[in-house]
Amino acid sequence: MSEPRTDFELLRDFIRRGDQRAFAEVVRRHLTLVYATALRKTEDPEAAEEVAQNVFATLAQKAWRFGPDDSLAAWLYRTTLLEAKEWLRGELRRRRRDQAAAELGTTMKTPDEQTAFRALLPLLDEALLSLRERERTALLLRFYESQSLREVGTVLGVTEDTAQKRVAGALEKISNFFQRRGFKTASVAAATAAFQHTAQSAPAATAAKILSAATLFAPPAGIGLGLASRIIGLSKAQTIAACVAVAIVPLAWQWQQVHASARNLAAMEKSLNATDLQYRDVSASLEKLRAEETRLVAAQEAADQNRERTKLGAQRLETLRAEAQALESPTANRWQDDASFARIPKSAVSALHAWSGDLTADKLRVKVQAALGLNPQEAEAAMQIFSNYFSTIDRAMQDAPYETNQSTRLKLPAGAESMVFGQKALGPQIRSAMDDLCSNLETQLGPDRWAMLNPDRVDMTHGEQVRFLGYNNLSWDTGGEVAANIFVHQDAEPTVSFTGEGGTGTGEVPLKWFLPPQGGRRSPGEQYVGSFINGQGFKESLASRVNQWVTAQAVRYQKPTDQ
Amino acid sequence: MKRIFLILGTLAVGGAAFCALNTKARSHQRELQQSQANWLDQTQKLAQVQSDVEALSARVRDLKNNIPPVSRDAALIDLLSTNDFKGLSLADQGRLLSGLGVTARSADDFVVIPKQLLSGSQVRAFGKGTNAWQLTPAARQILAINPDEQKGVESAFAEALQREGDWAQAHVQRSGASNDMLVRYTIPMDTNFASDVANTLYSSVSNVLGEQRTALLQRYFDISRVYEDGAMAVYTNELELWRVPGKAGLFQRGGWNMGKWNAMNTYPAPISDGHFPAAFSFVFPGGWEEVARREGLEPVKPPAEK
Repeated sequence: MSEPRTDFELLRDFIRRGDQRAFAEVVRRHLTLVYATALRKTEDPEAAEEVAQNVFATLAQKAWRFGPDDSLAAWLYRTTLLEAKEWLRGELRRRRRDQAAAELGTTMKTPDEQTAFRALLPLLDEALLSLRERERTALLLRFYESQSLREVGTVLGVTEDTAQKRVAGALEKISNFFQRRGFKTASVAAATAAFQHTAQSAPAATAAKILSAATLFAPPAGIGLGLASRIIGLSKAQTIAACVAVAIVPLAWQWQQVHASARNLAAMEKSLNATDLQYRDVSASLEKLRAEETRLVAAQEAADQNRERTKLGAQRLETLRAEAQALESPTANRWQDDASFARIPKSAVSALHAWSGDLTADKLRVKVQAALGLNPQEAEAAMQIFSNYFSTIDRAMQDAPYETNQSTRLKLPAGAESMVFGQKALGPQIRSAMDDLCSNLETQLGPDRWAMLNPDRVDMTHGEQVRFLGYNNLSWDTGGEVAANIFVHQDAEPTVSFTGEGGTGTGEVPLKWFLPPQGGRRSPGEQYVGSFINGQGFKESLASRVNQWVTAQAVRYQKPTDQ
Repeated sequence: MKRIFLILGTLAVGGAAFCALNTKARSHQRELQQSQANWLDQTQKLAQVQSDVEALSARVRDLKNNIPPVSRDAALIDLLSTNDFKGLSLADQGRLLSGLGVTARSADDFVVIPKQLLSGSQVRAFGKGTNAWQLTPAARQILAINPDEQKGVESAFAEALQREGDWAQAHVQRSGASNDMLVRYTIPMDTNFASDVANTLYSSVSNVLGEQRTALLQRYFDISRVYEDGAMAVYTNELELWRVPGKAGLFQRGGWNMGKWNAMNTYPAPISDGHFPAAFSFVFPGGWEEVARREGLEPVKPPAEK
């Protein structure tokens, strides 16, 4: 068995499809409420009928405004009150008031019926209007439409128990309302009786008349009313869903717009970056080209300016090339004054003492390169070998000088304060360095050009190198020593003598000879010791060291009268 | 009424969201427009730069075509563009020779070198002692002196040495003992005689060898004479015999002496060392033995072999 359709559903069918049976069903459901209310207000059955017809006519016109959650009973009740009030305002109301009073007196048949509730009737509608709508609706459904508590609960969307509590609570409030108006005896029972008494159904003929008239009502026409009725016909959740649905479309569209513009913006920035990168690359290329252009323009200008000089250089080069080629001819073994080159047998190269004199690496570089016909790379490699050799010798020479007060090589005089100045024997170190030099040079130059250099000549070169470093006639293989001897006498001024190797030496001379003279000149002692040291084969550097020490001793033993 | 509020509320929220999204979309649109403007500007600049690159590339191509190709000898030509060969340093001359492909490995038996190297070098050009007029094989090879030239050169030098010997014997001076020094012989300086001998000699040699080789030979000969043989009449040459107290045998000092500059040993050295001042070979061809004999001194031991 299907559930009876709700008022909302019936009105919806009436509005949408013009279902007049549905509207008649609504009228049938609420006719008692409307008629009873109208009758109570007008106290005239005809007027009540008229009011009821007007109320349902109004409902037909405004049916589209009702939603599933709206209380039709409450609306009908209010509308009935308004219609009845309107009716009462007219001329007819005044005219019939007196008659009604008389008729009312006749209708009160028993004293019981004139009990307390009759006094309450004029205030009943005021009391109903004082309630909240859901309470008013509950009472109207319960008493004027004779619905069970379960049906009341269904209409109100609550349980049967809740509906009962709501009806009871409403009656309690009605009772309180009456009591506040001075009806101290008004109880809930009296209020209930008042409702029951006034819940007068319309007479059958009146009901048939109203229902018949209701079948003639047509739903209001209008383009927007259908839509309005649909909208109003929605539940809260549906309404929210509809609103969200309505709102979501432009939002979605706008959202898509935002995303599309963001995508476009990203794509544009990507393009911009790519273009910027390309611009930088091309700009860099442009800068390089500009630099190249500048270089080329300068080169062209230089070429223009140097054209004559270059031509002259090229001519000279060709001349030299021809000279060199002529010298390479087998029959060209003769001196040519006009040539820039000389042709010499390889066997004579070693006799060409090109590296004599003060040896330096640069001098060696130039001469060895020219004599051996080395290309720059070969010359650089050869010079590196020489540099390594000289570095080794230099280090050995730096460590060579020493000073001591004892000697195994010299016979130092007794009773003297002696200081021995020497230079170490460097034989093993120098021979080792020389072996490395020769081995490396032979490897670098090749046997043929190494033969042209002549190892003996290199050895002599080395000897000269050692000589210039400080070993004049002194054997660098054995080293050597000299000693300065200070004699302090009791009754004479101090003296100094010098001792060399092989029993050589000087006699004692006054120590004051070594006092530094005024004006930066050399002291007689300095010249004296210089001759001796030089005669021993030492270089001046050693003589200087000896002189410094003896001068210090002279100052140390200096008497005031020596100054 | 509630429904209306609900609808209005929902629509208000939706509207606010719409406005927010719309604002954001507009912001994006503005940024997009700005980016588009920037991109357009950048694209135009890029096009301009690309156009510049194309134009400049063409110009660089033209310039390269117009510039004469760089010779592989450019560095050598540059060297010779401001100096002739003689004006170059020995190092640059060596580089140039190497650049020409002339190296010590160009031939098996000879090497081509810059002449400047010869004038900066030393060669033992003549023999010693009685052979002082004979050219050494090295000198003949280096200066490419053929046998005929050798004959002329050696003849000229022999004649010059003979003149110097005669002059030395005529002008040698002897002074007596002084302290430990037994005797001193002096061949005085005579620049006129020296110049005359040199002029005559090198004039003859030049006739044989030409100026270049004569200059080289003179350099080699003079250096040898100064440092090893003594320079007759160019400097004062001295020879002294000494006795050193407490030591046996004769001692000597000798060499050329110009006062501050000299080539004499400071202290008397034993005669047994073997050194004999070359200038006095013309006066005492027998060396120390002849000096001792003339002075009536004891015989001199032959020099120790080194």
